[in-house]
Amino acid sequence: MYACRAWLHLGSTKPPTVFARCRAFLLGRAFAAERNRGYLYRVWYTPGPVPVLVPGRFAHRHVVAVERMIALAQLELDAFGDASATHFTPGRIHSIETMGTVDGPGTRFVVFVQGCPMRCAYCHNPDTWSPHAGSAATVEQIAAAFESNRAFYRNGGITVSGGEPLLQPEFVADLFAHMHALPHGRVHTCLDSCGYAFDPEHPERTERVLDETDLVLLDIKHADPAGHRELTGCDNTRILAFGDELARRGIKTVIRHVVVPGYTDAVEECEALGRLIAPWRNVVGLEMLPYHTMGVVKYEQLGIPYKLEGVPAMDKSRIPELRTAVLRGMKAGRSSQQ
Amino acid sequence: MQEAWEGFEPGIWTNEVDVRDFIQRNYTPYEGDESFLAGPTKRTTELWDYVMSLLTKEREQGGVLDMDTDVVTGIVSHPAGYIDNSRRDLETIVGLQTDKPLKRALHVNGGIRISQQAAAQHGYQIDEKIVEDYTFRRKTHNQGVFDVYTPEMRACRSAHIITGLPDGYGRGRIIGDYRRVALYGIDYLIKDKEAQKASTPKVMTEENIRDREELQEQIRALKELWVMADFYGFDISKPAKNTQEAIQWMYFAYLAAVKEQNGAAMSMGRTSTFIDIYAERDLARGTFTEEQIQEFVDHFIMKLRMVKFARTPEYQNLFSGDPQWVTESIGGMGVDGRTLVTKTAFRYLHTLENMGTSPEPNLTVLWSKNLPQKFKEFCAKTSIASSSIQYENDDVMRVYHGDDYAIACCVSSMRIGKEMQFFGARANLAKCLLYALNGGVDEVSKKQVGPKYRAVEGDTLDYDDVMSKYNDMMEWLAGVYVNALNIIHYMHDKYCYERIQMALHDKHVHRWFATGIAGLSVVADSLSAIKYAKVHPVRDENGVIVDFEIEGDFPKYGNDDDRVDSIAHDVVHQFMEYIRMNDTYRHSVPTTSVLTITSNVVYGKKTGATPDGRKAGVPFAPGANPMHQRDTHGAIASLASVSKLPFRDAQDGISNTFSIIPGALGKEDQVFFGDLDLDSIDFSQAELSVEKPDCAEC
Repeated sequence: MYACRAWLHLGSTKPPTVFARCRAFLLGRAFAAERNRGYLYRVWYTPGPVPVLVPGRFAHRHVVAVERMIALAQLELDAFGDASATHFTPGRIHSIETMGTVDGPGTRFVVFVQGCPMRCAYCHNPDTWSPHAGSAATVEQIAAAFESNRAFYRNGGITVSGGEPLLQPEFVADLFAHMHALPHGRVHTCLDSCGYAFDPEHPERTERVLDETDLVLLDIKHADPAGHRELTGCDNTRILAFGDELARRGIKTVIRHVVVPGYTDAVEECEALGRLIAPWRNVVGLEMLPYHTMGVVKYEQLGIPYKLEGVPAMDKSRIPELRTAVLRGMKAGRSSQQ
Repeated sequence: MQEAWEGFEPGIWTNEVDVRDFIQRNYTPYEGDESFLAGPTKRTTELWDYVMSLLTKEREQGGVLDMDTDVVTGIVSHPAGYIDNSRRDLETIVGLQTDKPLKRALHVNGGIRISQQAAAQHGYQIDEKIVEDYTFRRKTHNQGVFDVYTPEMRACRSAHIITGLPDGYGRGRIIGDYRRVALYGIDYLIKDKEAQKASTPKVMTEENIRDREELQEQIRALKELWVMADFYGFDISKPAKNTQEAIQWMYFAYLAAVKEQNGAAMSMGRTSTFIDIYAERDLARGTFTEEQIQEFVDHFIMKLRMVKFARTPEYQNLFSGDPQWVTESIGGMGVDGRTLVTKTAFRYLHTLENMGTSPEPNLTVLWSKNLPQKFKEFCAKTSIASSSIQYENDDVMRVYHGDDYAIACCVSSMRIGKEMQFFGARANLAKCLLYALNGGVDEVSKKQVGPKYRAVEGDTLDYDDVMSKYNDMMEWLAGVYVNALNIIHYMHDKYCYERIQMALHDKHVHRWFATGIAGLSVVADSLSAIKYAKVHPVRDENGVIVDFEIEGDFPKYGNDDDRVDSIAHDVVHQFMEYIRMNDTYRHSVPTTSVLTITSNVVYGKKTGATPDGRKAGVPFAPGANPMHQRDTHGAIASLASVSKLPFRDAQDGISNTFSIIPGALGKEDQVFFGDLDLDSIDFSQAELSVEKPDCAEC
């Protein structure tokens, strides 16, 4: 984001190489810088569910770094103009799946980013939680990997999942913008997000990402705020605000809901979910995901206690009934609006 | 024109043997759907139920129902056989390998010891007189080969750096153009072969002597084929007059081939478009109904499902079971742009529904992106229901083989009646790399098998040093390998000649000299580890490298990473170049394959630890597959790596075996409202209508 600001500062349409380098430098030091109300903050990923924002010990260094970046960027822009070799912020990614068939329509190139603010009890990718793990990848690298097998994705596109993509809004925005502008044709972009990283007071932070997003897979974990907190350790107001923002923008959205026995498999809860999403006219699909226990093994490997110990996998035969319940709630919600 | 050909468009084919020309002038491409198809007749169901009961009995008896021990098989060795002797009227297409269904024939020309082992495995003993004859009086292929093998070849064979050589079993992989018998009749084909024999040069070089002798054998085989058909009450001297006869004539020719040869792959060819011409004519004339034609096809396929051979435990280990590879190629596109899909292509695939699923015959759809959409959909539907269709890339193969080629075994493509192949097993390139490191000493037996080149020295492997040594060792291996195969094919031609299959070929046959590669992904990853990480060899007390320690990470084949994919590409190309440096038997053109589909387990078992971190004895990945669990970027990246291998060097085929659960191919449940069309979803239109029936409150 500093890179963005500096770049806007200089009136260029593309942030030059040096920003990417500085950003990589900062990430390399495991700084995840957050700016909040004019101060610098560090995001502490504690073992607990909620990431804590703490004023950074090296906050002053950030300021220095940013000033240096602006100075270097000026130098580079003077020298190379917009033709600088690498334009984009690198992302921190967990892995790439070249044949994604369950995260958006068609066959998709799925980028799983590293780092997530939520700690959902049933998460099957706990290895993507920590923002420090994973590896760096540039937009160009990802686009090149996509491009070499483009034929496979002609009915699909690219999906960024995670982890939580919105923790790296610049990277995702750059990636999506790039995918839309590829010379061999526009690529359909899909964002798989929990929405929690969206800050309703600062919608501008996700503005560029959403400008370039064709479809959102929005996970609503629980309809009830208390239930949501119990299941994910987080409040759901930001998530609903993100849903409102998507609706305001009219971005096509598929609602996802993981059905966990004893947690989210009540008909009432599903109806409530339906009422919750009813106002969003941009919703084009609903996906009920039956809880499975295939992720447990990862918890053992990572030495993290598994909160849903003993909860059985969801009986798939109940899914149609619950899906109908959500749709019923949606219908009820819509008719009461009119 | 003769009566049998009435209604056919004449052409080159009317004056010389040219089945492709006949097909091109007469077939009717079909772009419609499957709605015309007919279900199984009562006869088909009764007959197939009976065969199923026999197959169950066969399984219960440990794999073999019955076996010949005192009759050596040949085209005319047995009287007519029927599935159910008391109900011969059920069968519209007749002919069995022996006198009884599923009774395994006694093949001895490949090698008598192998036949004895196969019999012993199932508790049978071959008649002593026959054993004596084929040990002392009549030489076999197996004996011929071992008479000539050099000590070096024997050493390579027992060290398993070259494995699976067809020196004790039939080489197979030859497809006779069985359609010729139906189109021309035996008389015409004999006349044609006699003319060929008369046209050989008069100077009796070894080559001309062999040609003349072989042509005479072919003529004799054709005559025997006529006699065999006569046992069943058919006179096949003239062309077939209708669909039933065309299928019957063609099947007789194939039956003669499997009666004579127990080959590693006895494939059928590409017959559906050919048969369809007769079917179309019969439907137009009112000779047969759709039900009848489907019944002929069902009964024909049923016969192909019943083809069996007596095989040894070693053979079954090597091929993981008892496959016959009765491959039938279906569909594809013509060079003129018309599709070769006909109604009969649908009928062939429909047998999977009419009689249930079956691994044999190996129904292979030659896939092109230009195939008719309805046919593609039908293939997909049938695949989902039966899991029994093989697909191969017609768009790639048509470039090399035109539009009348067929697949032998699983992927070997050849023009029918014009090309044949000398099947050639595989060289273990992973073991070859270990030989390069150890200066020709086998890492398992510790014997000096390869040439005594300088072994690698020092604590860390150096990429350039290893590559130069590896190239030397590959060059040596290619030499031994090709020359062993030269012996094998010479002896096979001499003692186990495919008379009837070659009788259904042109006089001038293009011969492919097939070789093969095992362990490619192990080699690629090993070389990548040496290049991009640090590999420290671990030596035993004799200084032989028996294990490796790897420091750091390295790019792995199967992730669409050019750094290592290019190594795999170069190894295939380089090995093929070394193969090409050798003389090959009968002016055959060398090619190679990367397609161990099952034998990779056996090869891995005999190979020590490799520099990629693979432990001793661990199976190789099949074919050109990445090593297990090393492809971490999903299926497309994995396939992309495989697709970089050079087809022009490995024209005999590159395989990538992978299985996938249905869930991994996409969502089974409904996700989107309305049609899955990203740009035209209108929620207000599609609103909840799908769910309405279930919803009591609405």
